[in-house]
Amino acid sequence: MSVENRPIRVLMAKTALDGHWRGVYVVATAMRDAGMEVIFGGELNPYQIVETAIQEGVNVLGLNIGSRYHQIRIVMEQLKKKGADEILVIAGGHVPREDIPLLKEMGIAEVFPPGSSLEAIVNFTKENVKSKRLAK
Amino acid sequence: MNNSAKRILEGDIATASRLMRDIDDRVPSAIEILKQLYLKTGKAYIIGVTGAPGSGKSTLVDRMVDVFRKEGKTVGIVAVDPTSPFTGGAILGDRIRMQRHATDGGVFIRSLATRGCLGGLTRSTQDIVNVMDAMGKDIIVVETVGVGQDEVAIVHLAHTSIVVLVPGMGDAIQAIKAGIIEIAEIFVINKSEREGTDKTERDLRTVLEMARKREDGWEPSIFRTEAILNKGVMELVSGIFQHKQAMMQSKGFKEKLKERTKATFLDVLQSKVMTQFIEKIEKEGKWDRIIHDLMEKRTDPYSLVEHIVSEQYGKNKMSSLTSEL
Repeated sequence: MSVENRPIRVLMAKTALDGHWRGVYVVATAMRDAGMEVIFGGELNPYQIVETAIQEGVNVLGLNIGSRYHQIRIVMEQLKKKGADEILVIAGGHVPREDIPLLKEMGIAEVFPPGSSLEAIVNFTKENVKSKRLAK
Repeated sequence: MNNSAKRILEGDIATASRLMRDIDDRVPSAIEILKQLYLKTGKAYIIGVTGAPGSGKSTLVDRMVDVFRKEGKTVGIVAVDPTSPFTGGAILGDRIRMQRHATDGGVFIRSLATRGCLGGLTRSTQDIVNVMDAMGKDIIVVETVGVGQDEVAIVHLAHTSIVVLVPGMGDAIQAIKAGIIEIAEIFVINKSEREGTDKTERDLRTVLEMARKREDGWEPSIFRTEAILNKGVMELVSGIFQHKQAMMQSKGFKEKLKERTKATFLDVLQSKVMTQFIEKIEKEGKWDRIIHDLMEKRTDPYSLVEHIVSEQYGKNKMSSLTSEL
């Protein structure tokens, strides 16, 4: 199987404990329809998220975040600590636009606030996984 | 020994899970590591769990893991979900029932998508189980896709195979009687608080009584569980260990291992030979012509295959191949 044809593996997880699942379902389905293998992680704490991402060998970690930025910081630190920071991290959810730079500073590749198109999420994921793979 | 292989034998999860991705994606370099790991396999006890979608397989596995962990055993789990035949994508949702174990260093969970493989497993399952075995996991649980009839592949892989049923599924037992019901060792009626459990058990016993007697003399056992409330799970686990004991003492045990070993070898052989021919056809750009000739009925698949095989090996090459062996 050539590098480009290898299926992209994604872990979708919620750090927000708000019970708002719809967005996660919709994005997970769009990714599946784009040919990706999406592991449905559910509502997890940062340590569970990182362990799951490593055990599942994912290329991408999709986080649904509320305002719990501290949790995100732990996720990013743990990924680095465990040598798994090659994983592309993207985020979505109710994120105020002015907070996006802060999240990117933490190492999140892109943030998709409400109103983002599914196509944009899928394309961003594909493009970035591809360039990461080619860079290896 | 290769560095990756060494790290995996020491139980390194990141290296193992990277290898699993390579195995799943059929990256040739994975084979080199598998060669070294194979020699260290054979210690883990492998349990297969199969049954209809929604019967509670994942929840049951989650609860069984609790019991194994309390006994100090390390556990590997391979959970298979279906790939969409249209897009190649998949939602892997078994793991969400087992997330309590996510940060337990003694539990390694891996989700796999079928990627077009029939029979409830994936092409990579055996190899991925081998990696977990080499890592030193005491028990490996393989959860198949939610199927119900012919997923006998699991039986070749597992030492103990469990079929999970739920009450009120009508003729579900009729549907499975010809396939896995003859070979599974343990049956579980999950969600047994529901109406119809007695009837399901009666039906099941009838079908089992009518089934051919097993050569190893084992009489399949039936357990009732309510996985979500953790009821009946201890009993089920001790049932698994009873089967393990019985199997290891039975006369047929060695035969079963022989068959399993042969099946693994045949898998690798088949995959190697197939890949070789597919690569050759692709390299020579012959796909279009082959398909065209077949559709136009200019030739038939049997003659074509004979031709391609003799082109590859020839008569002389074939005999030299056997003498090498």
